[in-house]
Amino acid sequence: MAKLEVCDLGFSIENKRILDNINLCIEENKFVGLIGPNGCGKSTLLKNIYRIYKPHVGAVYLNKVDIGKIRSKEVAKNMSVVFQENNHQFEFTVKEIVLMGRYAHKGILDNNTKQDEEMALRSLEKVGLKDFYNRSFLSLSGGEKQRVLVARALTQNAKMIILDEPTNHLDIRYQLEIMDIISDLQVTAFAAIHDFNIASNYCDYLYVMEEGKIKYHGETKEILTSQMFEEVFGVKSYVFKNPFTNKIQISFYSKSSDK
Amino acid sequence: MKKISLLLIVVLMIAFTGCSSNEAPKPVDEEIKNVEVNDEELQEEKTYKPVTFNYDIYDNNYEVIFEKAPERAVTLSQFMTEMLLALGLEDRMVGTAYMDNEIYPEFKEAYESIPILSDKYPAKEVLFSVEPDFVSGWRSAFNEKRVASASEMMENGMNPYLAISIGGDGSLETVYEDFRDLGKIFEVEEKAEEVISKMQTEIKSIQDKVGNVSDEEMIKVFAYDSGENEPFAVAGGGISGDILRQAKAKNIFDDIKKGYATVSWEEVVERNPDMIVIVDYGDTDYDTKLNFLKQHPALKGLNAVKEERFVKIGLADMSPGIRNVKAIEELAKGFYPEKFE
Amino acid sequence: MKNLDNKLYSALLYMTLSIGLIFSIIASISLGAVRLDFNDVWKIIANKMFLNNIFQNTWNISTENIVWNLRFPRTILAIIAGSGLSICGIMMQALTKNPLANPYILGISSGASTGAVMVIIFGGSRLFALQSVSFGAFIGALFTSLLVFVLARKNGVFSSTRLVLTGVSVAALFSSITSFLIFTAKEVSKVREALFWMTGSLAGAKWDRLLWPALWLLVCYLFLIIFSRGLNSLLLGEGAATTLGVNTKFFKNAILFLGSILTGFVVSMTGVIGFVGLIVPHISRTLVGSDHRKVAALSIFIGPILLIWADVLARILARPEEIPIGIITAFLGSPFFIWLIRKSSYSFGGKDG
Repeated sequence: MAKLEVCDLGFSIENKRILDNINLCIEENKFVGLIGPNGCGKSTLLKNIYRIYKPHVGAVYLNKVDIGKIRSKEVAKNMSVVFQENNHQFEFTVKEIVLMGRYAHKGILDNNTKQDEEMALRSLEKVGLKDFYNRSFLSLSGGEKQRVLVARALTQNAKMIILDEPTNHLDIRYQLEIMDIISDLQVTAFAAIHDFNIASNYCDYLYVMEEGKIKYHGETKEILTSQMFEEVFGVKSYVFKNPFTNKIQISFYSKSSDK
Repeated sequence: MKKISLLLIVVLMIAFTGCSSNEAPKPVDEEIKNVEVNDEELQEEKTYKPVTFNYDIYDNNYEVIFEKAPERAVTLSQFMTEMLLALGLEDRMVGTAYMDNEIYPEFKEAYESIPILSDKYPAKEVLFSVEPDFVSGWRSAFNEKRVASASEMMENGMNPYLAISIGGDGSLETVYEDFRDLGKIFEVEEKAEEVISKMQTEIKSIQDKVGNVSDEEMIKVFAYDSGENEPFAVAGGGISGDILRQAKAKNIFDDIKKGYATVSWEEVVERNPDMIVIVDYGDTDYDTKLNFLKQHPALKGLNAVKEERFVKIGLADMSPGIRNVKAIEELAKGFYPEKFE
Repeated sequence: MKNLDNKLYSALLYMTLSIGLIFSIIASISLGAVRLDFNDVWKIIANKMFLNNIFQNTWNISTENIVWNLRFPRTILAIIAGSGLSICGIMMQALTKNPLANPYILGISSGASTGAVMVIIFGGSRLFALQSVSFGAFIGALFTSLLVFVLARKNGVFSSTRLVLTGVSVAALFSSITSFLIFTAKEVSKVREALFWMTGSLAGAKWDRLLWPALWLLVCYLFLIIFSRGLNSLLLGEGAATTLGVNTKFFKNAILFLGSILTGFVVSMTGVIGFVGLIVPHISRTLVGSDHRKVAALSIFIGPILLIWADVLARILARPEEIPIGIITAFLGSPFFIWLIRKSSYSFGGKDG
């Protein structure tokens, strides 16, 4: 039973086809990665899935329900998202930001309960920011902000989590920690990832995009081959297995160093 | 806790506004009570003939009825102040405001005996504090954000009065009519007729001195009020335009049936006035305007500029009232100096 | 970084503000163009409030008139307008996600001016039976917001940017219509009148005009309080709000509807008073952060206090004449605002990184 299904999705911006005939199937509790060169439409696809954009053709189904036809709150109960946000102007505390994750579960007149606050604290603990509870969000560094947003997504407590290049600003340590947190949770995850080694370490299944279409998809070890990298990314690679983790690792080199 | 106190304040506010809808006290009633006399005495008194006016002020039409002679008059413009003083009504005036030029010398003493409410328009509460029953002035005063609206005045026992002469069809004749109306309102009809006769006599004497002026001999005049990019000129309708006519001049913008109009320098040049009248607002205003006109490139070719044929007239003189006599005299002397030697 | 959650800080703040507001109300009724005896003032209020003549009438009718029919409603109007403009400011800032938004950003003030000027120049009774300049302003305000609403929509939604741009264009259009009307007006006095109306003043305050605006203000305030969560998330961006489950369409429509009517009410009663709707939300946010619940609660104290004092100054600085209040709010507002920006501990345009 697929948790998230994308069927025949197409999307255009000003008559230019950005996404064409996208079909995706993400199984429950799997960690699925989305990779592809810049401009291939990864971000646009994710935006169609988490409803910032409305697909022009096709639909997105979450738990067999067409999410284009239900309320945002319903969707948010079942799907949380982590992406680069752009708020530079409105001051909130870390606590306030994280507690926004509880919105989907609250009625109009409900207040934040002790339970909600505990969930928030626990999420912050998971991302290593427990002491930042009362700090100003805008005063944090880029990486800290990103981790707070992850904590917010955790607080949302949805069974599916989508990550749109979530680890851009982070030190390697935190990149790995966040990926650890996500994979330890009993959730379905779909993430756009640019670091292939991380993709290899955490994802069970991969989708490769090129020019608005799904080019390849399959189990990670079958997708991450040097032919694929040469074909889609235009780069030479050495693919090997990491003796400690038993996972595929990739090392890149340019044509000129191929002696 | 804070939300409750907040809501309480708001609810209280609403309760106030809801309950306090028609709260205007009625001072006039109280005054009338004091005036009640028994029937016999009433029959001996001359009965007052109520005077009714209909005014169109901005958004509304108002019917104003004077049922007794006012005793607490306020004048919010120079011309009204002088009109009432000309009728000798200083004892019935409780406040004046908004002078343009110096008070007419003849009325100086009387003027100084009346409280001056402000230089320009007084705040509403200042007006209310003198409890007037008659308020007059230019139309702009009758606005809730300037002094007070006509409705506000009437709700508080003040009758507004707008002279006919302030409108676009004002003229010397309407000035006489205004004096007659004021005569009726204040029960000084005889004095009003005196004032009118005096004005008529004096104007006739000036006009006789000028004598008959044929169309060709008539001096063509451009009466400049203000404006740099476009001149704001005295036009054909209105009291100011009529004053020029009475001084036997031909206003080059006579054809525009308004009191004042924004015209163009081109038109001024094309209509080629013989003389230029400058309306003076006081202080250095005349000199500034004179220099501006003399140096204006478009006007250099005009005879009026080349030969420096300028005539000065004060703003107050161009407003309706007894000054109009002086205005006509000064202008006539300026236009036809040879007739006054 | 101070602890914004501190309950003690909060209690102190509200207590100070409540006292401040009461003091301001007292000042507003006691001070004015005419010097009145303070004792008389308070006896009059007491008599009226308790609907009983508790105190012997030792004052002029005009004093009572001034206190009860001029100054008191004017003070209430200052409270309504001060709160109203602040609440509108908060709403527009949420709608456009821009802390520099003000209540007039969607062209409402231009539309109101056009409506008012039309009545001034053509006369209300001839113009669709508009009863007064105020009503004309109100209709004008609603008309422009409806226009912006219709024009800014694309596929049933509007982005904040498109809203602002449409608002700016509509504002420009109506400003030019107003200018045109003014320049072609036949009577000079009407021109001056029209220009004066637009400057803004509380002198039009009357008891019977305050009820509906006060009620609408209450509705808007409650909206901000009840829906504060959704509004908070809205500030973070369309994407963040949607993914958190906020129905952004509902919120934008609601804000537009509630806010434009509120601005319409305020502008129709006071003309265009600037600055208040911009700085009050800022002051509030500097003190308590951006949670709408807190910002709204604080603003309905700060807004009235600000406007009451601006009005007091407008009435006494040049007495017996009155300075248009818009001049005071701008004159005092600008330096204060600049000081606030420089001092503020939160990043205005984004810290680096």
